[in-house]
Amino acid sequence: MNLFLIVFLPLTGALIVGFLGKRLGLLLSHIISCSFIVIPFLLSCYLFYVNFLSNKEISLYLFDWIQSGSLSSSWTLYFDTLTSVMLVVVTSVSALVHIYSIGYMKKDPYQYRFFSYLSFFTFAMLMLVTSNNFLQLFFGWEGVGLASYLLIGFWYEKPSANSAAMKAFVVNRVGDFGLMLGIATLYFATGSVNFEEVFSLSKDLDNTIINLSCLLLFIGAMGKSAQLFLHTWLPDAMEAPTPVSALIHAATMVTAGVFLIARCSPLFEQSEIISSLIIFIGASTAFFAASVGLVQNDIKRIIAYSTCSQLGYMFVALGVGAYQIAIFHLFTHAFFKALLFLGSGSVIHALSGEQDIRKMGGLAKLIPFTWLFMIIGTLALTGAPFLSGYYSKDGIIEAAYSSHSSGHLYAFYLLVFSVFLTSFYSWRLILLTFHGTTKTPNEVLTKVHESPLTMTVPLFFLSLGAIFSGFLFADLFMSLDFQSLWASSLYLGTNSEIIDSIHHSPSWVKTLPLVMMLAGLSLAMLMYVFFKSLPESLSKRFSFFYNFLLNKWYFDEIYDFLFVKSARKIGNFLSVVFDKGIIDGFGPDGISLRVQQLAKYASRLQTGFIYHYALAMLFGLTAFIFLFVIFG
Amino acid sequence: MTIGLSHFLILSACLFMTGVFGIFLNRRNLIIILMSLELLLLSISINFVGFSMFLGDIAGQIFSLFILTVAAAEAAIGLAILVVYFRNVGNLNVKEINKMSG
Repeated sequence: MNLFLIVFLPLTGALIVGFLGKRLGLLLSHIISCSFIVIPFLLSCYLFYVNFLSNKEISLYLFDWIQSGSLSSSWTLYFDTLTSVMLVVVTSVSALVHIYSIGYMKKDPYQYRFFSYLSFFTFAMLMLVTSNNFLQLFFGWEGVGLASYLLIGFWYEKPSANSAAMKAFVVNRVGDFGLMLGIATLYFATGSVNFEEVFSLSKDLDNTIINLSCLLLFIGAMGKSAQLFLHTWLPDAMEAPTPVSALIHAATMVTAGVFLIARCSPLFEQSEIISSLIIFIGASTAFFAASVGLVQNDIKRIIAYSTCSQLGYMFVALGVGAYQIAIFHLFTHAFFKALLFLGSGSVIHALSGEQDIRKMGGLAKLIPFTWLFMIIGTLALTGAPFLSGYYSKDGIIEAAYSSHSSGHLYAFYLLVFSVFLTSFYSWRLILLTFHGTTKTPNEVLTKVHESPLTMTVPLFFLSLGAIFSGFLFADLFMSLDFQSLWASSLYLGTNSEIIDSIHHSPSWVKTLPLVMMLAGLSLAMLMYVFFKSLPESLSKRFSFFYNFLLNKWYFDEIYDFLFVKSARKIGNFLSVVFDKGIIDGFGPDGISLRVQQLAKYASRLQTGFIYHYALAMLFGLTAFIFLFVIFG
Repeated sequence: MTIGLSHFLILSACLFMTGVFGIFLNRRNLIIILMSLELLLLSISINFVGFSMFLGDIAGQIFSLFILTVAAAEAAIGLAILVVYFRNVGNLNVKEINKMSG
């Protein structure tokens, strides 16, 4: 079996559809781009199964990339348990999103470009998760960043989409710079960029170097995974077409940070300070994003903040050392969050582009399938028993409780409270969108229709994932019996004590999330079904809090004040003083100006009167003769 | 009083300066410039003849004949150019001949 097909079929699809799409026609382009993702999906399922049975890593050397002094890096595809889980996540969601996009992008004239970008994104993401060294990972990392930029700005006629794309790119650059420095630090300390060599050499390294490189790698992960302080790009990235939000900004790309830290778990395990920092940032993000999600009105933005919040959960799990559980949550989250995004896309599609949930309502009867899928996604997200989120999220909360890292109780209480918030904002979204009286104008309402099969079938499969992925795979990730599967790719500690202690956490810890979830649900019911005037009067009474949350804790304003304005000032200063003043004043422009002026003076000598020239000649001649006679 | 070399030279210098001032101070007519040029050539010729006599060498006088020939040709060509110029421009005003001005 040629495993490299998994990675390179999407690239082939991207190139074919991108360059030849218009000649091949719409139907053939759709078939090619979808089948070139579905085949890798089947292959990665097979790989997952094989890996599960035999637990062997496969390393597929392709060719050398860089050989320069002691720096050597090759293109190698590396498949272990962690990678195979990521492969299943990426290819399954990507395949479903490709199929969904056929319906969603039906009327867009630039579909070829869209599908080409999507396939390219999948290729870059697969390159990222299959790499066996930091440089190849960085290649994939930048590739997904580029694809994200291109897809956020896909509707480039919209200025808001353009600036959102730019913002995502710039904020990610901060994180990427950290990652780059982290890789450089590790290379400086160990002389290698290969994962295996770096991890085995890292045990002899100085503590400060470990801490520094972990911090830098974590900054990289924060940027990509939209953690607090570097999260501002994610909500704006919702300018992208909805399938993109589902694939890139919910299921795959934003989890690259989680993957990076899980991959580097042997490093992070040696740095207690940074692990605590990860817990702190993760828990704060989970709480912050959930609190902002409470009051947002754009259906996609609510889900975006929810994604941000769930990523915070994953980071807490990484910080307390429960790497498997973080990956488990990544796995289940990919399904239910993609489901929610695609479901909201279906709502937007039905309402001809309306995204404001205050203008929706009563849609449950009109688009029953979408309603059903959204309910499933919401149940899974909020952690209703026996759906996927229940297993993974509770696992994280229990891990946070039973860990011994400093700051774990801070994380525990914030996460539990965030469960309440999550449940509230999720049900608020459902109740405002699908129930109550409709606020949609009549001319839109008459056109409301259930989405075509190409859109509902992927939703159906994703809802299967959202229902069963937790129940079926919980043991694989969380049971002690299967921990040996992870030994090669993750740091497990002695006897996987964190997994062990989860199974012994007190019962109140296990039931608390469920209670919080029900509390959130009932509060949402109370406010949006029974006492409909309550939200408005609350927002008026606590207008300070309401505005604080509505404006996302004023992060954008603060950043604008701190960074954007001063950057603009520095830029202006440099452009006026340095560029125009020094470079242009003394450089090329200055010299050419001087030459022009001299030429102007010189040309004034040319009067055009013959007798002037003759006079000059006469004087010259006289002077020469004079000199010749006297000094000659 | 015998006529010596210095008389020749003074005469030729006077003629030469007349020609030079004729060129530079003239602001009106191109033909006057042409005439002044003839004066310059003549003064040179006188120089040649004077030195030829002084040195007892006939070559100088032959040379002055050559100069007369060249002067005749130059005058002919110069007048021809002036005629063409006059046809194109309509006057021979010196002040307006500055098309080469930078």
